[in-house]
Amino acid sequence: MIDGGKRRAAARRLLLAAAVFAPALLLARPAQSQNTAPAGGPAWSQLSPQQREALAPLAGQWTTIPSENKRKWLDIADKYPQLSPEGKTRLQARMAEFARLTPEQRRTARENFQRAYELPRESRESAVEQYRLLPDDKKKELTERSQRKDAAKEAQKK
Amino acid sequence: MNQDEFGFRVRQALNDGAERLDYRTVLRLEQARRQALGRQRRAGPATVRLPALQLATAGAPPIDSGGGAWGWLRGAGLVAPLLALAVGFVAISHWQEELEIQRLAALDFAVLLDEGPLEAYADQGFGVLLQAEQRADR
Repeated sequence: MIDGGKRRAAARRLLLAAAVFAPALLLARPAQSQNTAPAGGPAWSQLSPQQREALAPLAGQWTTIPSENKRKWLDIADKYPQLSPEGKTRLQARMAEFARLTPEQRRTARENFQRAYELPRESRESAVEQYRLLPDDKKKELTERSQRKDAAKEAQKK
Repeated sequence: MNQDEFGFRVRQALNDGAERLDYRTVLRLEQARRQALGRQRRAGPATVRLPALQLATAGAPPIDSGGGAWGWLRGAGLVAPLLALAVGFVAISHWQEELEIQRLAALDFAVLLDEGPLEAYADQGFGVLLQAEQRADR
């Protein structure tokens, strides 16, 4: 009886500790995954043949991709079979380059992509053409101007 | 002082008194309660109806033994609600994470299939050109 009571009390304490600390652990997890580069997720050998075929350009860098990003890539791999042969080629041609971008560059790419598609086709193509014709030093100047603007906005928020 | 007011004052005085009970009194009351419950169990399979808030402490060790800092939580019957809250919190957080991953996957899929140069998309400077086009369109 006494042992049973002690066991129940211990189990209760364990449950309580879990109840109190589980959310804290959960909150701590994203911070940890940002700090450590090669972060878990399924190994390349654990992927299905279809997933390996879709994500073939990432084979060499798969171990360095954080687990959240791996889940995103697996989601993309699921969409891959629905693509036309041209679509498959284009997706794979840009995949490795996209995965090599820094998280900040990927965020910028998503923002610019969304911004570009808010414009009419001609304006979008005009912006791309202007960018293509810009010399490298001018591109750098534009980037720095944008970064200064962002920094000023951040400073205003604080 | 009418009867209702008198009743209210008595209740208030009892509640105040209960809150100011010292540790030894609480301990003795708890031990007496356990002994009484033990005798009742030995006497026969009588049904004991307990208020919902006391279920968490029924059959548990007294508040001071082994409970430590958690004792008051058990006493208040907070174990189950806290656990449910934690499980709910974890589930919602996972669900939101999953939604965010799906959103990013859909967006990245579109970026990858697009014909626009990735180098431009990834450059904040290209964003400045897009904003200039946006202003020109208005």
